[in-house]
Amino acid sequence: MDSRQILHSLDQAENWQGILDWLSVPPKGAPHDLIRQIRAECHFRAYLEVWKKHPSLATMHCQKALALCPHHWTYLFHAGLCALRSGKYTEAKKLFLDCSLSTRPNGRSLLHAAVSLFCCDQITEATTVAQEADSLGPKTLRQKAVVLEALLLASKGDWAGAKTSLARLTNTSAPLAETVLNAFCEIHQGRFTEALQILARSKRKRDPDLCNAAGLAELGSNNPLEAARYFALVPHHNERIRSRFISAAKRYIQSHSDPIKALKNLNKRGQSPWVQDLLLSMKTHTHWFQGYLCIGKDDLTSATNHFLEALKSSSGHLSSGLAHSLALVGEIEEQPKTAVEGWRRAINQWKLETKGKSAFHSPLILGHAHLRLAHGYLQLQDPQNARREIQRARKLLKDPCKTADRQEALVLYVLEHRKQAWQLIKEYTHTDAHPLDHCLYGWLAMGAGYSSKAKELWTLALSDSQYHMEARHRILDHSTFEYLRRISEMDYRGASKVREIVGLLFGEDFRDEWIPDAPALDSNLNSLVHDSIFDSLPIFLEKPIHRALEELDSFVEYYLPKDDLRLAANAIRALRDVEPLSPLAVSILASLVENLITDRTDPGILLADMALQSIKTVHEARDVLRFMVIMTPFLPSWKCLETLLSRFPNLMEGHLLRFVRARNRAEARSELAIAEHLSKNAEDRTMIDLIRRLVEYSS
Amino acid sequence: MNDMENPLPRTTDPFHVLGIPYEATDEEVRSAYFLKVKEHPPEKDPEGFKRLRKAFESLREEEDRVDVILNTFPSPPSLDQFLGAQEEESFSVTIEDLRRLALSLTELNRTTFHSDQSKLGPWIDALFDSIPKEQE
Repeated sequence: MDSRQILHSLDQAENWQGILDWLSVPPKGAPHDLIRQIRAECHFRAYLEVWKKHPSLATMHCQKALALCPHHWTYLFHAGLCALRSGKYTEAKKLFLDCSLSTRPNGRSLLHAAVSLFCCDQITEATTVAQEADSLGPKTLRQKAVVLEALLLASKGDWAGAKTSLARLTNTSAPLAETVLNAFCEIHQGRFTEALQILARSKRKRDPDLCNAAGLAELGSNNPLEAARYFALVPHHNERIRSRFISAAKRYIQSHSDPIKALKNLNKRGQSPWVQDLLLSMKTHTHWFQGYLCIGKDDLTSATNHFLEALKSSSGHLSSGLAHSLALVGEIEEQPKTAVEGWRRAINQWKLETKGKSAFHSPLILGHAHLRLAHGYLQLQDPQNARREIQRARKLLKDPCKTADRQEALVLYVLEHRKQAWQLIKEYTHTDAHPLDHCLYGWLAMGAGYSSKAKELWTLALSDSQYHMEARHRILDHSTFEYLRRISEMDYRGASKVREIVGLLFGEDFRDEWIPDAPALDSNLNSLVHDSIFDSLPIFLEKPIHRALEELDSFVEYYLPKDDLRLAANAIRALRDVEPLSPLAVSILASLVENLITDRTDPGILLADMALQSIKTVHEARDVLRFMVIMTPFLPSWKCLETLLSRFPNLMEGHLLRFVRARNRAEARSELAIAEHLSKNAEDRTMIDLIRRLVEYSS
Repeated sequence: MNDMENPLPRTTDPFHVLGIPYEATDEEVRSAYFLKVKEHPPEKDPEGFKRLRKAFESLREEEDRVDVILNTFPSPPSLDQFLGAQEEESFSVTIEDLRRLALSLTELNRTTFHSDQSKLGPWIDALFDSIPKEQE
């Protein structure tokens, strides 16, 4: 294949780069001009290929073509279009004017030059060039030139002139711009209905300019919802349309009694991504604002819900103010998870915001925010994260800080470093500390084994008449906790010390009512212990699940009298959140169910049913049944068995138990056959075979 | 600082009462207070003075200010501020609308420009016809 054929085949394959590469070393004696022209055309073709997908690469190719042939009309024209596309109007104007001055001045380049001049605010010059285009171009181009002239008149405030100019157009194939300009003329005169009628005639309903005009007309007609919907139809993000959409939407929301519902009305399927993003942000703001209003009305629950909704709708980016509000409601509403989420996001956002501008960047504020976050983690029984936050706070606060020390002492306490916890806090236990702080310090002292110090601190706390009741409540709460901890650690001496202190502080009678004797744990317990334990169940369940279950197990074992259904209900509620049921949870559940079913009262059976609802899988059901068989001297009750089998008909063990309780031989055979059918492994099958033989032998 | 377990959230912002930014220093707090007291002297506006005094007391020390900032619900910004939009929007036809319309008259929305291409074939032939055979 010779060189000529190679070039032709590259041309056929539209491989412009291949031709350019080949021409980089042209044959000797080849005319320079021809080489230049071919190379320019190759760049131009490359531009035409990529201008839709890669505008900057296209512009580069177009400029290269123009550099090779600077007076080429087409290259000049397309370079002008590139400039116009990227909003470089001055550059576009120069290129189109150059184009008009080249060898082929025509209506096309003149029209573009006039538009560029208009974009550069040179209205007089634009009018002259548009008139020239009007005289030169073919029919469709001349129509465009007329519309442009009308637009230029309107831009000078001569709307009547614009309308007269448009009246020159009689042809039905007039551009859409004519329709829109006509509508603009009506809008300018306040004739919004007429404007809408004009626009309704057009078939291109989703044209951005038409939507913009229709939106303006609807706004003029005081119909903000329709206006917003028209602006929302504009497919590409445009600052002017975005701003109009926001204003229309704002007007609509303000006119509506329920802002959240108003937002839903604005949301329609198939809207452009920029509208969807905007509506989501508006939803965030509306919920934030509504939440803030609820705070003013002391309706904290609604405020929390609003803030959480705002959090949901804020995709990724969350305003620091909103995060801060969330943290505060989380703390007040005693929702540590919400508080932690709020503080974490608020701190991150404050750190991201411009440095040095806001008070939120002061180390003191950030440090204390870290401490609040640590407090949240502590409430979630997450001492590791709490400790990390305290360390971050310490770095920011620099000087020793009472709050940081106190938080760290609590962390150490939770981590079972009780002596260290006390060491950290003891310097703050001077007599003029806050009475409620003394309650806490007393707790830490008691934890470290300094019971007389605890008594001293608690006495101080109770001596303040203003805080007496609160201090009393806290001391009892803490003492109950401490007492139970000692019991669980078999530290009966420590437990009786707690009892003794409570007796000394609140009187001997109160002590006896408050907590039972340590060796008599299985005797009747009073309601205070129950309350303190089961009211704290949610807190227990925030702990690592095995620890929560251990505590629950001991309560069920020791304290669950058959007649205390309230306790049982609390325990069931707690178990429902345990997923999957661990062996310990299974044993608790089995105890509860059997206790309640043998109670034979309606509420007891109802609660047993509720407890059985906690079983979620057939494996769990099997574990519970097996546990019942092993644990109790009797077989599971009929009612329990039926409930389980109605939920898990494929429970082999259930059918085996039915077999055992069968009322006649036929029923027994049928249950054994079902069990055999359901047996999945060799072990089960051998067992069932053995049972069958035994039955046959005995009969 | 207040007890951590009992945050006292506020919706009335003492910074707002004194008209000072969150980053105000001790000195700025004092100056703002004395300036405001002149506007609301206790003998003429006892309620206003009481409010000012309360705000001043709660912001006097830096630690107090930290406490106030962290325990006050920040008021949400206006919707325009939140969305980063311009405050006022004119609903009349603007020159920008007309320019946009003018741009729709151009070939910016045209999808193909095949008619603007030149044919390369004749140029390639002309190129090889113009050079001596042995060079080709």
